[in-house]
Amino acid sequence: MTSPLRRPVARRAFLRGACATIVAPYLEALAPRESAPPVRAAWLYFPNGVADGSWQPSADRDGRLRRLNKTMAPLERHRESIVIPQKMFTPRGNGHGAGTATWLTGADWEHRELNAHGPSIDQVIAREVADEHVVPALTISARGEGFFAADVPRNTMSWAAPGRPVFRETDPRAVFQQLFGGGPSADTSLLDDLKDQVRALQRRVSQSDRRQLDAYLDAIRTLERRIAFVQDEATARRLARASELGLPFDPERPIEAVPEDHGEYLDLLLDLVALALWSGASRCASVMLDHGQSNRYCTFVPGVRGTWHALSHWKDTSGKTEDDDGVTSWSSRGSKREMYDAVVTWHHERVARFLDRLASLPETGGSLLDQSMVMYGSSIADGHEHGERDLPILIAGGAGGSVRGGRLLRHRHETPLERLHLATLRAAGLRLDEFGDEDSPLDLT
Amino acid sequence: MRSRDAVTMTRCAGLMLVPIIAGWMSASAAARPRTSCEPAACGPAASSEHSGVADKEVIELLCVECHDGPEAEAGFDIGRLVASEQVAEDLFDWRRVRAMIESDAMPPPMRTGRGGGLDEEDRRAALSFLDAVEREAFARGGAAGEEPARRLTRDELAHALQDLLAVDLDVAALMPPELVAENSFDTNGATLFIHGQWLQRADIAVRVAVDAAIPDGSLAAGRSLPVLPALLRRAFRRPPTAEELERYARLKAERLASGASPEGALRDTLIAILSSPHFQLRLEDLPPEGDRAGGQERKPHGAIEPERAVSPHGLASRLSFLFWCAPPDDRLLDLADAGTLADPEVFAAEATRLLADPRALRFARSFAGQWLGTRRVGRELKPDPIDNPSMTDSLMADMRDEVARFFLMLLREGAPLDDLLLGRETFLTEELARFYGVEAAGVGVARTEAPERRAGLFGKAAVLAATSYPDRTSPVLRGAWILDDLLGTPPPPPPPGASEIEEATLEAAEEGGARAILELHRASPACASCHDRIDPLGFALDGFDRFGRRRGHDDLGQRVDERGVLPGGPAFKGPEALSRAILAHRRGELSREIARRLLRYALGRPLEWSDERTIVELGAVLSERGFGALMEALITCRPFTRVTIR
Repeated sequence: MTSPLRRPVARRAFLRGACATIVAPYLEALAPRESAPPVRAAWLYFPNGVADGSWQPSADRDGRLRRLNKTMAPLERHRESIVIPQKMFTPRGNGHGAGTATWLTGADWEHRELNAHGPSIDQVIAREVADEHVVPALTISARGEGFFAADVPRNTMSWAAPGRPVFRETDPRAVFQQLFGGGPSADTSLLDDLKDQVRALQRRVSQSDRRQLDAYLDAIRTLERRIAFVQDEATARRLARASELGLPFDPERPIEAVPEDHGEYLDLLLDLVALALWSGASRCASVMLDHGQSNRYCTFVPGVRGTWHALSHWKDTSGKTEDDDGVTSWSSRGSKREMYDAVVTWHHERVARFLDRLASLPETGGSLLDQSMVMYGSSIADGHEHGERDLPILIAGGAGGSVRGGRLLRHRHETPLERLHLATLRAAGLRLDEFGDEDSPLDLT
Repeated sequence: MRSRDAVTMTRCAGLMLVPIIAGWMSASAAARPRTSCEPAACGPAASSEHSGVADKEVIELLCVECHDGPEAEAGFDIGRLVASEQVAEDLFDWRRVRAMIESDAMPPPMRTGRGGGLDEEDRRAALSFLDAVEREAFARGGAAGEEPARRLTRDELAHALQDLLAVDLDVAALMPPELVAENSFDTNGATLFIHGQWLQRADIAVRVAVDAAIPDGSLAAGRSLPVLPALLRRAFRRPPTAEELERYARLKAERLASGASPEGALRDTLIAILSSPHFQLRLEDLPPEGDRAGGQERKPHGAIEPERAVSPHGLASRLSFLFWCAPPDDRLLDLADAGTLADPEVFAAEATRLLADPRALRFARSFAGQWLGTRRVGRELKPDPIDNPSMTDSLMADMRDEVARFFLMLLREGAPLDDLLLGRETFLTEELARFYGVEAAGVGVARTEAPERRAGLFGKAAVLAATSYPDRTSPVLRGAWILDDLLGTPPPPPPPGASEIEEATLEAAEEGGARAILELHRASPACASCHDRIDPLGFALDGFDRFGRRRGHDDLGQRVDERGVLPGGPAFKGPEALSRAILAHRRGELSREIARRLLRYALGRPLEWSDERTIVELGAVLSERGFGALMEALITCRPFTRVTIR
């Protein structure tokens, strides 16, 4: 795609003009990177925060990471690829709902209008590379359980535009079909026909309906891109090696069922993310390891009782307060905190395994992890306090040389997450002047 | 976690702006003599000019210091509201002010130097201004509203495929679940997002359904698909154009010419038709190109914005998607073709026919299940199957369906409002009867008179389970559910610091059980203003456990104590007395909230300030004449039969 714009523009100024017609490319062109493979980005979200202190590593005076926090032991093997920035916060939306909805937009949350004033960072990238990938920004969530499983803000991290949440797939089989097809929707003449019908309709409908039809056209184009992608020779060459590299792309063993085991289920979803990024089906991916106020019973973690959200309020041990389940009780704050930590550690293991996978996939000049920038964290600091300051956030991967790992970034002042997003956008090759309210990217080199 | 979040959790993530009907609008009755001025009686003459400057000044003086500009407390800019001349347009924000004042949650103690809230004189002045806002909104309200070109919901698509292809196959499970805004419905066009995954899954669902309709080699015996023109008419919910007829006839001919079997050609044609945006999007009421008014007068008398009548085929679809969650049948389309459907008598008779059809159960399941939250029972709200072997999937389905069938019965039989809370007739399967501890009346689903304690909504197991946590009951959850989902007066979010107050008192309360804990936070002024309203309602239902079983002791082993009190109303004991108290003292709120939810579901769009007039009118019909009259008024009201042109 060629962008009509050659000079960097302020995102805000642009959005003002671009809200109505979102199809037109409106972002600054990609910086030239002809030879190197593109930097991939991923955002992995977990809900309910971490207990105060459980993200704190030990580091030298100059910020060199000596050892991650003991609750983060599974990630220790990736320490040299990890940067932990301190005092990160989302200035204008916090907590289970607003914090989740604005985690990737860095803007205000407007509840009545269901508006996180997006687009979110993944969709900004997606729009820039729209024609180059089947699903430019893959969006995935663990299927919900308990209260709020269908709630918009707690289940939405990606926004195509203000008030337009991006759908998040929860079924591994459907993710696979989304990327590589599987029979239906391969009928190009049918898709051409549908496009004709939509264009004819666009002449007859109101302005607001036209937006719906634009979304419909976008949806059709997604299916068209996939057809082109799976017919591409380079795709075929790459995918021929996928299965031997341990990726879930095996004609002999297609994904037939959703694993019952929650760990296997999340691992499969994350393997599909790795496959999408490595095969070139996607440029970036966002994954919600659970919805923003997960009340999932985490009894699959050894030694843990109760729901994740109840555990996150670790200073209440009576088991009789609202939202604890009234049956589960804890003998002390200490033991409840241990269980809370254990649930978070269990999710760290999933992420560490995902990083293993990225590190094992060959990419020009190194591994996919070297070419990726992964942000991992939560929208809440201490779960009990609903802490808003010093969010648990880390960055993993080399981002094609834009990130130097093994470091703790000690910030003297509270630092908006948008500055990290801006750094990610730059690493991904987008020359943007600002993201949200911020115009100064976090220095990660 | 604290009660703070319990309330926040259920209803009001952040500072929600759910419409709060309040104050004088609760007027139906002797309940509040000061509010005897019904909007209709006050008439269109009322406007903000009559509200008196002094009244607004109270709010300006006491609220704006903190709630002003972009940095306003809680992000709520009352300064802007006060400065605006258009009070009706800000109705929902003014109601938010009202809820805070009425519950004494604002202004906070530190602002007034006393406990929270306004003194009597200021309060009267503020409420008098807020009454004027309501009157103004009523006087100027009632516009038709815009109809969004929304896509079919997951359930609508599945039911449409069932009906069109005459297949007994539910493909809903092949589609992703819909996200829903709080207190809203899956029919809301604002959350029916269109994206590639939806298109792809719809495509899979269409192909699965078509394949089921065309079994290998030949059409199933005794069942035949309608011929192409008839099928197109039903799929597109209007007469197909000549161009469309030709397009699909040509497709079929081409497939046959290229060697496809008759079934194969038919299959491809069906897939093409059911993939069309004319099937998957609600576009049947599109006016012709270049004529947005559809040949009608653009601005009828009294309308603020131009509007037009919905076309006969638009009406047919509105009716059938409302009552069947699916496209119109041939009879409805015939009436639309003939132009007679808009005749009020014909339209009402059709509504009655659709409601009497077994397919109306889809509507009851969808509407009542989402409104009351009972649709989540056994799905999102699922008890641990190992610890609770008696809570089988079939039992929980029966529980959900009991509520749907009960609600549908009220509509079909035109029952009075009172039956919603007091009606004894219900629908039990053998398994559910056993669960309730009563004699099964027959095989399968049987209509039967429920025991006294199972009367109305409060006796229904699904309602009681939907208002509990997965592993225990909560009077707060149940009380907040009554205030929000039944009465439309959700408690405001807790004041800052509420959780700390509670934490300090918690440990002392360990001995006393749930009621003692809740009594404690009600002893604190900051909590009491809301929990005095919430908790006593919930306690009336404490004789039911988290699955809706009768019990004598609560989750903490204390003897159940079902005493409660309606704020400003009588004390009572148990569910039946609670029902009677609501019907006597909150009849207006209850009937308007039911009207509001139905209107929101039926229109498939977020409601605006100007819809409040319709809601007041529909609520009065329900309160005085019952559910039959309500449904008739709903399908003939202006927003249902007319549409704003933009």
